[in-house]
Amino acid sequence: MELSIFIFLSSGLFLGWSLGANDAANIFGTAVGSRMVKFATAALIASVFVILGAVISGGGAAHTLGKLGAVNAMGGAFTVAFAAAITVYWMTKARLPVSTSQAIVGAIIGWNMFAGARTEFSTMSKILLTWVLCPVLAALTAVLLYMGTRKVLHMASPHLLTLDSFTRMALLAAGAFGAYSLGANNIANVMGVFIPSSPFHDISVGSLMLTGTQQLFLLGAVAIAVGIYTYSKRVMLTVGSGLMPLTPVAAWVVVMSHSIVLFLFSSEGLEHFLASSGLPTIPLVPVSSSQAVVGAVIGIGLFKGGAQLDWKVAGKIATGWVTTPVIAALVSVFALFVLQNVFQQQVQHPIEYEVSEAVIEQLQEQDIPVQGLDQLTGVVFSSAKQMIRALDNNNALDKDQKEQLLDYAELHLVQVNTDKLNDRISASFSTAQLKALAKLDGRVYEHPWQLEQALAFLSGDWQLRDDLMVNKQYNKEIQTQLRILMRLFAVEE
Amino acid sequence: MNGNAKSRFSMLRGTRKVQNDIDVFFDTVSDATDVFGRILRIYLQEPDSSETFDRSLKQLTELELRADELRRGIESYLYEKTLIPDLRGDVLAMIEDVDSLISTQQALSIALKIEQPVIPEQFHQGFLNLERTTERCVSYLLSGARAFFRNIDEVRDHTHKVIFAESEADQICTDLKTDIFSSDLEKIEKIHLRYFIERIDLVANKAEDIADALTIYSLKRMV
Repeated sequence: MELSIFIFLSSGLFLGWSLGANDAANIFGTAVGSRMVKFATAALIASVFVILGAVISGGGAAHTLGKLGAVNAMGGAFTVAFAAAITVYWMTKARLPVSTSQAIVGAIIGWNMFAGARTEFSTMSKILLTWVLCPVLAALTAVLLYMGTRKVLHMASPHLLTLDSFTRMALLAAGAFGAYSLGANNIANVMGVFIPSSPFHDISVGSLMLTGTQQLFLLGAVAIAVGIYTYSKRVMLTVGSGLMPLTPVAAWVVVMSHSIVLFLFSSEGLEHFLASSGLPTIPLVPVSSSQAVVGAVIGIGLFKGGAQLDWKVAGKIATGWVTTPVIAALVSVFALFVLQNVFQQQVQHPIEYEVSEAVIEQLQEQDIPVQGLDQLTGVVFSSAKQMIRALDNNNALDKDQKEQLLDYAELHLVQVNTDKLNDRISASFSTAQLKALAKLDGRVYEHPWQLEQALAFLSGDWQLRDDLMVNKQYNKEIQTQLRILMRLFAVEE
Repeated sequence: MNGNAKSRFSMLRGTRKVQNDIDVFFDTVSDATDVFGRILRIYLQEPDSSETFDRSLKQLTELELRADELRRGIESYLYEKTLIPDLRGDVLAMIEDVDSLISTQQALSIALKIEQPVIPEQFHQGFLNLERTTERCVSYLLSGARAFFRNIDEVRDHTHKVIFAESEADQICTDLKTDIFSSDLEKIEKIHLRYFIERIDLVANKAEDIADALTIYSLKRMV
């Protein structure tokens, strides 16, 4: 593995360090600040569970970030993570409230702008919705949990000292859960942009299998742990003069609410359970740990009448929602420009688009109007932005249809070559899937969907199911397998 | 069992011991108040029984020492183990203040023994009424203090009773002083009796101050 890869990954590790330094205070701040829990204990628990959460459950939220913008060059991923890290670092230094999730989203949008790639509207709106939903959900969870806890304590009436002992243990347990959820939800912020250009290959240690992405997440989580050990103590000790004074029990409610909400936004298992029970699912998106905490504190504050809340602090925190992504996007664009033009580094692999005959046929099959597209036929666009501009005058297509056209027109030359399938990759496919691949050996495809269709035609195991919640997990797995093939069979021009 | 679990287990055991010590401390204060009542009754009603008086005074001194010992033990444990960090200051202040009630009663008993004030029989009932009301104040206060540890919602009920009983004590105190100063006693005797009346009433006043603080502490302790 080249040394340069680690240099590129360093910005992600820097971002991980910032995350550990800042966000561990959301989980253990009150407990350590009030000396209910020793810093050494808090740091150990937080580090171990952040790593477990990232490696075991980190994949869910990473998928959504990947959809927002597939940063496809190592230099680009480095710059995006660097822009986010610098934004977080600078805003923390300036004592401005900041969220790693919002910084990385802003930085990715910056890359999309720079590279002329499109920002998927549906993914973007999903992310924006969760940013509002996260503190609201945390507030509601906190109120319910607070009411329940009060009722239980009223009924049980434990001695003050017994309550103190149990609160300490409960804070440790909530902290472990919080750290796990933080790792699961926020590791995508730290390492998500490196997934498309990940240098790691799957490895097996005994019966334990670690995918390339999991190794990437492990590395990021270790950086978070370093952040926790080296810098989070001073952040934890300054917590407390914030929004509202909290009793240790209320602090436990806040940490639990924060952890539940982060877990909801990152658990693929829960998503699958909800979907298979016919219930609406929660989008798997990296959300802000700080905003979950703020939401929970405000929830309890409002429930208690709101008199103790410092609305000035709340207002300052809310401005961070807008300023963080904007600053990160601007820093990202500037840094990408410098890296590409001053340091001559590749920050993107250009993706070309062409409205080929095959695309027109495909559109017709889908009953999408093709009037006016004949002028574009055969033209190769060097970026999504160029093609979108060319489509500006086309009134026959609505917004969704234009999005679909872009999906079909994306050029990604692949040649099926089953010799490239090693044992490890083959083991992840079914026999029917492998048979279908063997039949297509040697074939060349211009557009990704052509290979997908060809495979689906040959085997039911390659077919995506109807776009229903209950099928989401199944379809996600097929799409992951298809992405592996695209990378494996890509033809370098 | 690993080290961490062991230390948690021993901490739970230690915590249970401190809970017990706090209960014993309040029991001791309650006993001391009873003994002080007995001392005053002996002084007023059995002036020749100095042996019984001394025995009771000795008992009060022992209770005072025991309460001090318990208070120190509780304070050290709470500090050493950094227990209840948010309320430790309040709890320690309350325990020290409650402990000072015994000291006040002990000082008054010693003053009775040394100064031997002349209390004419017509004022005996007034002194006894004042002492009984003070005893009620302390009793309500101790119920409030126990509730602070076990049942926070009940603290207010008890502290309210302390405040009510203290105003009753004030009234008795004023009436008694009025009666004494309108009597035929020598000026110096009147002033001497006033000193003892005010010292008995001081216990009720202190109990009221602690009850006021306890109400605030309980608001802080509300989850």
